[in-house]
Amino acid sequence: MKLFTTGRMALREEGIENKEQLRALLRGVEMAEEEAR
Amino acid sequence: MKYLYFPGCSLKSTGKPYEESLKAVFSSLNVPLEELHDWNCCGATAYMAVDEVKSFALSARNLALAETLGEPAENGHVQLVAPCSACYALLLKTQHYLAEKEDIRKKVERGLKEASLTYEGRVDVRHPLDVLVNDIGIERVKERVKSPLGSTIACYYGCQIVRPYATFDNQADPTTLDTLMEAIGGTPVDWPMKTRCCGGTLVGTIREVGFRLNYLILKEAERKGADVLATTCPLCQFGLECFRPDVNASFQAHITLPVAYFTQLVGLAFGISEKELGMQRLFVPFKSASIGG
Repeated sequence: MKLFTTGRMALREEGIENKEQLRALLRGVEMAEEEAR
Repeated sequence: MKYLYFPGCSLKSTGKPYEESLKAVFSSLNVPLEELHDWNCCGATAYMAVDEVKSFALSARNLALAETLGEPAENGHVQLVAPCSACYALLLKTQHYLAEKEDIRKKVERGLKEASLTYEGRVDVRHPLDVLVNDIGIERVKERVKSPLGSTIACYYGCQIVRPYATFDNQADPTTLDTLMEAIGGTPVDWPMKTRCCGGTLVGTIREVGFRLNYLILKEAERKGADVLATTCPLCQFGLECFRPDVNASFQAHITLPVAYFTQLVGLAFGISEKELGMQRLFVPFKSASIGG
């Protein structure tokens, strides 16, 4: 499994090579949601 | 034409025979299938229920990677093959929401930007059934058949590959799988359960409901005289096969119907070895009529 998700939003990044890219992606979404509030 | 392949988590775990048989069939037809580098889990319905926008962002990363790494087809779009029904439906849903919901698109685009990615909508998400029937074509499939299947088949599309976003088949009464099974020497049964939900993860949450949905499909397929149920979805295959003892016990039934991936059946008709197709991984064994089932 490349990325495991749980009901509490915990992310495991097993198997993902570019972990920083994945983190940046989700961080960017959070920033956009924060700005939209 | 080269296809990019998005396996999703299932085809690397419980759906391994789906991956094995898919690769074997495409290779046999000389159709290149290249795994998308560094793909991530689509999150399926679980993640969508937790955080919708982040779920779309996860799928958008896969689409962005495909657009960057894939080789465009004649229409200028990369062809991304997603065999898992949940992955397929979610990738299509992401495309629709990005196109139609500006607020979601802006948030996802911000995420992509932070990740130094872009997605401009130049990816076609394809199910392998669609590719086999509509790109490769029935005639080319027929030419490759060495051992016509000779079995009666309940073609089960499940609830996600023809609706709500797919356009390659009739959403109410799909026929592509029936056509493909006929092409490899099978006889599809006429039955009303083609697109009925199998219950999916309900077998792990509200078990009695999941078992009942499983039972209705299996019972009807068996009543119609099917030798095997052909599925297009790893979760359907898992549910319909792995919980058989529980389903039989719940309904005082004795259903022995095998549930195989449609790609396994195509592979058998092509004369590919059972091991290469992962037939030994099925809990309920299936032998086609042509090889002594």
